[in-house]
Amino acid sequence: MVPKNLLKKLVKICGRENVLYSPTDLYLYEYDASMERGKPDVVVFVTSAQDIQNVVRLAVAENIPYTPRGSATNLAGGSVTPKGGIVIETARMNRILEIDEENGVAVVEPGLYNLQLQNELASRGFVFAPDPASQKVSTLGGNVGMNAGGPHCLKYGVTVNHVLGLEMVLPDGEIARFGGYTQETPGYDIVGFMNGSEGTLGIFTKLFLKMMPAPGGVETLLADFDGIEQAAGAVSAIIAAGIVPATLEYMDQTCIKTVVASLNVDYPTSAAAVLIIEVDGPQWSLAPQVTAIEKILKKLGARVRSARDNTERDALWAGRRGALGAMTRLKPSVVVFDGTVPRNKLPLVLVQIDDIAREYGLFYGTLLHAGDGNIHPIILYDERDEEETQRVHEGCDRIMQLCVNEGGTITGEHGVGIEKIPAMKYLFGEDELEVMKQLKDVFDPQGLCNPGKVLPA
Amino acid sequence: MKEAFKNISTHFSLQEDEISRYAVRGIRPMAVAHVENTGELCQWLKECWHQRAKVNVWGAGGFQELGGALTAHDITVTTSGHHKIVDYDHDNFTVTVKSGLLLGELANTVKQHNQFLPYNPATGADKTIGGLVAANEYGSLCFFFGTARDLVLGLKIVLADGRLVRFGGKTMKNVAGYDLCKLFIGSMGTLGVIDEITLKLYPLPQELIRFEYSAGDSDACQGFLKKIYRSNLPIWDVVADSRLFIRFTIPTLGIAGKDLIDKVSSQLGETLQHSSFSMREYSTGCDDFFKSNSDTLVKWIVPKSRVSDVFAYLNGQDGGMPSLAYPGRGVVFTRITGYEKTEQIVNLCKKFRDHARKLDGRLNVYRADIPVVQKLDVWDVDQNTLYWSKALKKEYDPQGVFASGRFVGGI
Repeated sequence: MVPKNLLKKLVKICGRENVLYSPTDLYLYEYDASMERGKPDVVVFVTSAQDIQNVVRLAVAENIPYTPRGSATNLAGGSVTPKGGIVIETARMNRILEIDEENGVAVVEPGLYNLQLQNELASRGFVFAPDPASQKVSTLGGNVGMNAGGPHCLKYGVTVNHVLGLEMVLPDGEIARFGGYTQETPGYDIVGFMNGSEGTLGIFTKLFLKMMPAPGGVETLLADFDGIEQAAGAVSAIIAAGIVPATLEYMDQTCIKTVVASLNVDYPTSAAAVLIIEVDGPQWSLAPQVTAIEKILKKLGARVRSARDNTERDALWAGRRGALGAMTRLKPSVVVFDGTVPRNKLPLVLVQIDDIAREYGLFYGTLLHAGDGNIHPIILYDERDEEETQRVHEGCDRIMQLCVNEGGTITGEHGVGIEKIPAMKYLFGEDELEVMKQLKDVFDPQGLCNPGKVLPA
Repeated sequence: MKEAFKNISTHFSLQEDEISRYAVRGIRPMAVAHVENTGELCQWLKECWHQRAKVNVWGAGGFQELGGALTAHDITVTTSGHHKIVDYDHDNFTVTVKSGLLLGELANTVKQHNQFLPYNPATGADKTIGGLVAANEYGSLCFFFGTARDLVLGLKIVLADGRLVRFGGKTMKNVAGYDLCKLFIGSMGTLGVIDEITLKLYPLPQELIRFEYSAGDSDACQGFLKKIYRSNLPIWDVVADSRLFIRFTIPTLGIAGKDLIDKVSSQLGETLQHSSFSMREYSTGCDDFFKSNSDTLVKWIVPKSRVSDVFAYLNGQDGGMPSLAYPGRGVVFTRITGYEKTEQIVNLCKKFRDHARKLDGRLNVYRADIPVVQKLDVWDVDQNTLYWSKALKKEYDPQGVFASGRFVGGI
């Protein structure tokens, strides 16, 4: 329950229409795309850096937690509020402030959707490389906060590689800018570690993003395999041959059958797995790469076809991009796992995940950003069934341990949030966690900025 | 203190001639410790922490005069004996090395497996990888592959109190916890000592073609650079110099050399000089520019569209100033030649800095003699970054174990 005097102050800062506190409204803000839940005490829609600054100053003065929120597509509980407090909703700060073509910099507000920026850039012959599957609805502030990935990160790197500067409201209530139009800034790389800090070190108010020229040409291949090990092995074989495709995506048979049934895409349902491989660049540079890839795939027993035009290409991608949505129709609840392993460990790890799933009776399908070794088993269940939910938790935990044991990590692109805090111990010892805690303490000594995330209490 | 240190390792010297070799701009340590493994490195730092001794870390010694004037310190810890390749996972295209390994040695090792590390700081072959990463050095390949922050997958760090911590790993993606690799890369050894580095490797291309273009004036120079930036050519590196000479390199990607040359010339609308070579012969030709230690060297950091403005400005100076740019990064290095007196050099640096700011950029003094460094803040740092950099330094090195003076704000 929010004290009335606090509500009054928030209304004064943000306007009556931008402050939500009815039980029904708050119910809608107690979740994100994960299994985690946590009801806020109040939600405020901010429209400017000054709004955020005033809300943060008020929260700090009143010792109330506050949590930034964009579209809440977070898959690890990063947007929910386990300690209540104020949700600072940035969705209405969604303007493109500047497109500086000369310097290849786009300046945007944090609430802008990734795809909105992509569309604007496409009309000018540019791209913003990070393309998370949620790009239609996920905000760029969230993308930076989570250091989001996406299929094209194989060739072009993850979000942090494309962020030149940040303006943010820090927990001390000041608005600070780090970096901007230049590619480097003397001093510690604050922009670097703010990426992926999951909204726990401050709230972004402006993002300076690197634009790249659009690739010109694209060729998309679909390769289907009789065995998952061959498909996973093909990933390393392609890269070892000196080719770095723009994307190298993997989908197993469960996913294939589900997307074919749901989205009417033309994938071979008898295949154990498919790879969607894309090369991009000037049109004239594509044919030699495609020929080389086809040769490798065929040697490994794959059947290969290429998209003849953009319509076919879009259809191939519709299946991949719609796979998660299609899978979620099968059962009421879903966990999208996000481990990452060294690429060459994929064949082994995929087999072992299957063993773990059988042991725990899990129903799942697997998507991979295979070129990055990023594994997304999509585990479907019914959270009303406590016994099944427990098995899902235990199975996920086993898979995380497997990834770490094989030289990988517990999360490649979804973040730690609340969900993976217990697994941080698989990767980090007390000293490492202490060093991370020190970073939090430097910027947020009161611990009010998105509390209960990333680090164990 | 000396007795305590003697017990740690036999690789410890109090000899005058040895100590003199590790003096930085006249500042001599009390002793020199040569570490050969992680355990020794941790032990040294732990002991220094207890003894409240100040440490200067020394790789191959290439960056000791980078930045501001180093303050007095007790011990120089050298890492050049700490140079093992810990794990070369060629199937996964990653390599993990100890910080004292020379970049040239690593390049030669991975070349044998037809792989390469796209990291080519000028004169970097005889520098340690730890030193290069700590100083955030980079070379012309930054155009396509980025800098150390884009190539380092994981770090092991020895903290001021001697604890060993690990961040990142050997996967291409990793968002588990805060990305503290970014904090330590480029921190110039002010927060911890880099013990181990995991790097991302790439397949070695068969053949590359270098193209060259000579611009008539700065407008033509910027016009051509703009075409490069807007093109979708797979350009790996771009170097420009104050003679308005631009060169860039493209891997052939299995395309016949002649066809590639035609395509590139047609796409950029220019007939370009060109030459083919293998990656094994790859060199940007930048080393000579950086080798000379006699001149003051300044680094302009500007939005990339202003690089030719920097050239135009410099070419208008008395006698011109030899300069070399990584234009896609908006960075221009200028050698201040023809000035002897400290006052003149300092004033010129200040004048350049004023001009850099007019171009929405900054100017750091990259390398200068001590009298210049003492009269000028070599780092052109913004107030927000400075404030938080100091706060971070205070948190991670509260006792000031790591010798200060060289980094921003005298950190």
